[in-house]
Amino acid sequence: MIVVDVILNGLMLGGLYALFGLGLSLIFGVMKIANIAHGEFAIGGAFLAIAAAIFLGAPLWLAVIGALILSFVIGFGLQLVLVNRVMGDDPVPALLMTFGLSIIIQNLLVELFGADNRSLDIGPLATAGIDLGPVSIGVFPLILFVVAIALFAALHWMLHHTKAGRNIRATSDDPDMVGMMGMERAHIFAIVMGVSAALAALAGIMLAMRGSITPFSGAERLLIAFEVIVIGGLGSIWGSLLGGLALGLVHVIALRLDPSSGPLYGHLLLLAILLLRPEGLAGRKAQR
Amino acid sequence: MMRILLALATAALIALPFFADRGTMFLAMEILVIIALAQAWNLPAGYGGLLSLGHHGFIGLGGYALYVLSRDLGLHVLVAIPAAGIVTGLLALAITPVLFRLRAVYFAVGMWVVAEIIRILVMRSDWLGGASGMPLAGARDIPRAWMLPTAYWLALATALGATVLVWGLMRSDFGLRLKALRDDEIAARSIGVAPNRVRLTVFVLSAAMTGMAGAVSYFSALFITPLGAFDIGWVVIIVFVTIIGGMGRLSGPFLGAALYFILREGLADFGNWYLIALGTSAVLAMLVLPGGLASLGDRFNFSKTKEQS
Repeated sequence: MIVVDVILNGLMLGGLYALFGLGLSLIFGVMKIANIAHGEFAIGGAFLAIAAAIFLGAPLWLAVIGALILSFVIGFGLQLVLVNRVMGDDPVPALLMTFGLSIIIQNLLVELFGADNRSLDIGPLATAGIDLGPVSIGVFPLILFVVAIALFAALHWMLHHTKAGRNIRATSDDPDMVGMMGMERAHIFAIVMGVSAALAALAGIMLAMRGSITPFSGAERLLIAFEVIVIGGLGSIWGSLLGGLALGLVHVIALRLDPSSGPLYGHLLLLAILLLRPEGLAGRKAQR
Repeated sequence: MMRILLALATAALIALPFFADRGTMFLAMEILVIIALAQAWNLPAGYGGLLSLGHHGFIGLGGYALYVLSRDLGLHVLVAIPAAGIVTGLLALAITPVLFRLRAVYFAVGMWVVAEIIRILVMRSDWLGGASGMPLAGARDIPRAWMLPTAYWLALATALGATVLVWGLMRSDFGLRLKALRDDEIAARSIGVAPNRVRLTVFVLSAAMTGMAGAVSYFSALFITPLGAFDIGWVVIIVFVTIIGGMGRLSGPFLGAALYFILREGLADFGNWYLIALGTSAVLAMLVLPGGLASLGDRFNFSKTKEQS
């Protein structure tokens, strides 16, 4: 039964990991750049919610929605004002620009909130569990998992059934042609960065509800998000879900067998995938 | 004229321990280590387009290599420090079969993951002192009074050595091949440049220089811990110093390091604000001065040294 327990916990943690990867996957897919500040977007979004809930006394749902909207606006604005100016065939300037942004955000968080552990209190929900005979699962991890799956489905629907989604997919396929058809590429990029930032913020908020965060938690989240999309395979958002679940399983199993290993086996899984199956679990041959 | 000035400046730098106080020397040593690290990072990144966010792994490897060579093989520190650079280069060579499957952005972050793996392995190793680190066994190799001057001279030698090496490489045939690859890989291949061999060479050289600079830095510290030696903060400084100074330019690391230390010392009383200022400078440099401070010279056309890539 311990096996079932471990697998369930791994899958539920994997849902959260997948959510970290989802926003980054969107950026990679549409803009062909890496956002090194993705982890800081997640942690910064969580701190926005913490600031609203703790310092302004807003109810939790309002704090979360406010933080998500603000994260969208910040992502949108940063892309429009800064990152769009260094986008081109070479992905390196955008990588360095977002690296700069990540350090600025991280240290602003340290100056504003200090380096202490912080978390978002969700009351009795944090410890509630469902008894399923021999195993029991936490209610909150289950909610996390369901929310993550729902967001994947929602993004899929948005990309395939709305006008904005069609524009985003077209930009991903052929940005020059999209420009010629009279669409404002810079604007589409800004929307994508905003959505990615909001998704990251939601993942960060759920992380802060599940445990605790510090302003320095961003780097680890970036690496997890990166591993999720490489393990899953680039080019499809469902690959990210698969990658997240695989990484979550590996982390939970490793934690059980070798408690002091931390993220070691997740990192090794990444190297193993690169060696054995460079196109990722989802399997589409991709350029990298 | 230029040569005489350079010779005079070098002589003054060598003589510094005879008239400077300890604080000045410590700072000077730190500046030289950062310059050496930035030159080493700039070689694959600025001239070769092979950008790594995991060079802190090589700093830690170099530092630990020095400590192990000194403790377990009893090597004199003056031998162990260059040897630490060589060990780091060889270990870098060993990871290239995996890493060189990645390109551009994936390579950059993949290097970071590798550095994390090394850090965790070191932290779990009792042989390397685990999470609490270890002291330098060879601290007695150099008389106490000469420790700081020796560390300073080693840092000076590493910084100047790295600069001369990069300068020499870029004037050679090899440098041309490297730049050709960065600018247009397909065209470079078509005229017979072997991409992976060229990239491998600069990557291993860069790792070796980084490892040696790490060894020098941790020689002066006399104690090494995994959290400090494998801190991503090293990469933050190296990358920003190089972007602000000028990627792919020999004078870039010098100018960037100057700005970094001015910001850090000037804002010493304001916590982490110097890092925010540094990040902002890097972002601004990307926007308005993509060639870094080193390109200001060409802009006003009074640069005599044609080191531009």
